[in-house]
Amino acid sequence: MKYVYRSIVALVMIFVISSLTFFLVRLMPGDPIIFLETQLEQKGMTAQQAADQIQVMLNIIPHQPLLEQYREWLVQLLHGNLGQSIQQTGVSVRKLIFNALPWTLITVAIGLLGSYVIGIVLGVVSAYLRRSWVSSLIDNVGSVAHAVPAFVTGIALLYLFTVVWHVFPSGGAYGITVTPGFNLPFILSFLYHMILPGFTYVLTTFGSVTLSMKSSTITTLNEDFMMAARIRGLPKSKLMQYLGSNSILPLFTGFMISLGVLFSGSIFIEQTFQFPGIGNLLATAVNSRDYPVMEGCFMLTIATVIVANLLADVLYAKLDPRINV
Amino acid sequence: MTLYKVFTRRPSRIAGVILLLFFVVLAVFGNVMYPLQPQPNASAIYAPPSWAHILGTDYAGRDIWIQIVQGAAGVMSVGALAAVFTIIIGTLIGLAAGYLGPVVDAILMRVTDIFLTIPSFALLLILAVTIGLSNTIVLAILLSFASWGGLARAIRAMVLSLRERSFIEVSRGLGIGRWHILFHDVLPNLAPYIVTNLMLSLTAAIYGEVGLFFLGVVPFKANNWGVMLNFAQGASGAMYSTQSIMYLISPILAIVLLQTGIVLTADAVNEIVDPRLRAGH
Repeated sequence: MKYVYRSIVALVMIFVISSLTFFLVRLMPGDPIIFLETQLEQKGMTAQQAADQIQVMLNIIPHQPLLEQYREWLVQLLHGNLGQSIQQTGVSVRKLIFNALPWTLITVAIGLLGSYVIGIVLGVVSAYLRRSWVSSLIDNVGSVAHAVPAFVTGIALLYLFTVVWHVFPSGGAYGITVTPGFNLPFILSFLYHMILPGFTYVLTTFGSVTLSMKSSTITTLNEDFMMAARIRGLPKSKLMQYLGSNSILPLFTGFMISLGVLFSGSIFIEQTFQFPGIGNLLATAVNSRDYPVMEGCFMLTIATVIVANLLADVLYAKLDPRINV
Repeated sequence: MTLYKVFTRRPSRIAGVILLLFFVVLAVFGNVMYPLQPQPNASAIYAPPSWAHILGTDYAGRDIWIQIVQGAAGVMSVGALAAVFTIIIGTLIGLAAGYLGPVVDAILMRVTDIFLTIPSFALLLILAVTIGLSNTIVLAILLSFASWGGLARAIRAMVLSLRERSFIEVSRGLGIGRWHILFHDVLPNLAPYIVTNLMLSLTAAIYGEVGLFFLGVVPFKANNWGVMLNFAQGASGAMYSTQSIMYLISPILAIVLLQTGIVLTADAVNEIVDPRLRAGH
């Protein structure tokens, strides 16, 4: 029952944010619809043709009251119609997004996994050695790596590993000789192309995981049950098991933010490595003022993040019986 | 004495403060030192570092060092302004949510959740394009708009635990007004956290700002580090030749060193303002 409630909240959130995107783009000065209309008319269309074209692209009938436009847009959205790209005429936004989304999902998932594994290990090390210089080194390196923009890290890696040493490919998601699909050469090629972007994700995110793992490990170490376990003389392996299962749990709450950070990072990283994902699509759409694609990417990214958080919440409640969602 | 200890315990903090001061000096005096834009010089394209050009020259023969120095003012001022705005928004919302009762709390926290969840840079891109960034203040407000969520949440949690403490209860019992308590009893106790967060917000704001320039979303301004990086990686092709390496490395180093300076200084500030941390070492 509680999950039903949470799911409804998540749906409402997605709905609210989508609507906000709609109104944001409509209400801003320099209305893109008017801009687009003049652009189309300059290409030689009549006013009616331009209006029809805009309706196809944006699901909006120009020059109607805003609420009327909103209703029409909403109906189309519920039918899964996100409009058409302005730049790539005739291509539906849905198609562009569904071509791009898998790449981003896989890279972000790998980045998330990598940064959590490294962050957790370093966090525990840092917590155990918290009185030593090693701990402050780990903390500071993590914080700096987190503060340096992903594109700076990406470009530096790109320069080192593709220009100085020709080790990795400079861009794209797979080589030109393989055919996308479920076959070994493709998967290997994809993983090979994934190494640099994946490493960039990990470098820019592991710092925050390290810090939260450190503080949660220190908290757990000071808990009564840990002391009781030590006094009882339980073997080290058992102690580590208690420590691990209790200190990793709070990281789940940081998951939400990490995911947002990773998707933000994907805009830069995919741009830097010419990766055909949703971040690159968004950046390109923003640069060419391709509003339908922009809106679609934004809504879908947010929907993905919200749904992932919902899953994390459910999983969290399953893992930690103390939490009663 | 304590200040001396804070710095000698971790010498990295001294390095951090020096780095940060270096960039502050560049930002403040940069435009006095070099009042003129660097001039193109067709006979010195991608010149290596020399006494005339400390960091060499770019694709049009312009001095890179002058560009870095002149860029510092823009990066630092927008960053500082945005960090201050972030702190103000985050603190006010956190205080309100923590102290003004469950209804305000529920509403504000749902809004905060939304801002925390959505990828802030995607939001920033959409806002930047639709609003159109014309000046520094608008840019700073937008940057802060995308990043106040974490602070608001942390402040709220602290206020919730503070309001149960006895000294607040005494104030309440004495019949002191809620706003007075909020700003005279609660806020001073949050000050250490807020000061440390100011530094971290600075890194986030610089990240966002340089990023917007790097992606070319905002109107290009000469000499911004993000713009330099954009040209170095893209149009000028500086990336693919060892001869032009200085043009690529200079903005990268500037950003990395500035962020390192801020992070290390934040580490020191954190310990200076929070006495409880000192006992823990």
